[in-house]
Amino acid sequence: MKGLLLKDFYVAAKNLKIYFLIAVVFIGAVIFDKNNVYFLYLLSILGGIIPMTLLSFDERSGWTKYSLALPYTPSRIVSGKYVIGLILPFAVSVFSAALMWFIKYSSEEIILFFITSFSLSLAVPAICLPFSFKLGVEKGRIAYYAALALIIVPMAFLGGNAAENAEPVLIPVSLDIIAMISGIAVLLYIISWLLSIRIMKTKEIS
Amino acid sequence: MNALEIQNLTKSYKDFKLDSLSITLPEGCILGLIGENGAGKSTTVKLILNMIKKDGGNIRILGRSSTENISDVKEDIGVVLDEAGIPDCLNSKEVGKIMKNTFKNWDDAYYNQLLRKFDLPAGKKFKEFSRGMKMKLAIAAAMSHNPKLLILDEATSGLDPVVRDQVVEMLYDFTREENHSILISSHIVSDLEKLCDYIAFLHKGKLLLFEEKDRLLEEYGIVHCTEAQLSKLNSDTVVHKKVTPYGAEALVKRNGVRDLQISPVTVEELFIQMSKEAV
Repeated sequence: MKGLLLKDFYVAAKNLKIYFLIAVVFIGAVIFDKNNVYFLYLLSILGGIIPMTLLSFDERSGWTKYSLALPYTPSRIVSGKYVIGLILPFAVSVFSAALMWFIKYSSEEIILFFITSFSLSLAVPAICLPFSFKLGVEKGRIAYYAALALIIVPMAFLGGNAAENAEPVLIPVSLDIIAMISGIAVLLYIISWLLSIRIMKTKEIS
Repeated sequence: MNALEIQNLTKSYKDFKLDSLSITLPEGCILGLIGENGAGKSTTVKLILNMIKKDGGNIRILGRSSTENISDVKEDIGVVLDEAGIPDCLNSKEVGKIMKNTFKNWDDAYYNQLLRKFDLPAGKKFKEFSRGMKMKLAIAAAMSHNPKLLILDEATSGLDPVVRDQVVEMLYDFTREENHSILISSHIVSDLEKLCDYIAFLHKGKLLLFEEKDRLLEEYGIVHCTEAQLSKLNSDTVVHKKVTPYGAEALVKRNGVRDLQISPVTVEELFIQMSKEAV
């Protein structure tokens, strides 16, 4: 799988510069005003989108078909994208947590942020990747928008609650709910991974 | 040992069926899979590589089943598809690094030697390559892990004659090792005519003919005669005929013709005439 990950690294480094630019803007917004921590959630979601973007590059170049002719099983090809879907959000969440520590958030807030951010960013590829493997990235885009809506709407709701409380509340929900949401996100990710492998094994690439 | 054995291979789609294909590629030989667009060549290649699931039949590659541990089998196969499949933004150096992490037996020195031989710049992006350069890079990538079997699907299509000739030379070089074999599919018959030891004709998913090339050319010929002379020939002897007011031309089996002059037939003529007869 090392070859697949290396290929994705090269493609991401060369084609996703705009993502890095957006990330810089989000980070700048948080450094400018610590109450803009909401941007760090968006940053995590941005990390969660990258596996689908890489898959669309694969489809366009014919790599998906070519990789099946190389010594890669469908499971490995799928797993490559899911590993990236784990590594990137994790790295982004760690980076964001470090940034929050730097701008003096409390340890409890940082831990809560990390769990929520990582969980939310797992949800995006978990929902989108099976559709993208099944229908292709273009047709699977509907799932992509649905996933973003599913994640951004609750975030907007939470943000609204925070505003009503007139305090810079980072996570206005209990730790139990956060733990439950995280559990669901992880479970969803595992189910999605297995489902995508199944889809890829039966898929007939033309 | 045979490099490739296919028996009764079947695959059905809504509007196409690959019908009970049986061919064998002996080790050290080159087999040309000839057929018009949509004849089933790419379907056959994908089935061999287990990229799509067969409905029936058996495939053995280098003595091993194509369905069990196919990843291990693919370590010994080099593949070039019609669309190279290399991401546009990569350069040949990066392609080499990816393949080094893909194949256990990757030979970096040989890959770099091939890049120099093919005049492929290390730092230029794949999207900036011409079609010929793209194919040469795909062939270099396919040949640098010491494969025993090369599978090329329409790899020479769209190449100019000079590059096609270079590709043919490369393939000749590859088969200098006696355990190296090639399966090459194309609708450009002239390329295969030069290169192949065995020829298989596919037409609308059916195998029209599978034979050693030299034997094929010995077995068949073209006669130019009158319609009356043609009518005296046994119907089994005449594969295809064309009668005009000026005379008749027929593709015939040489052993059934006695008193007529027989001209040699090219593989291309043979394929065209047989395809017409099979319509």
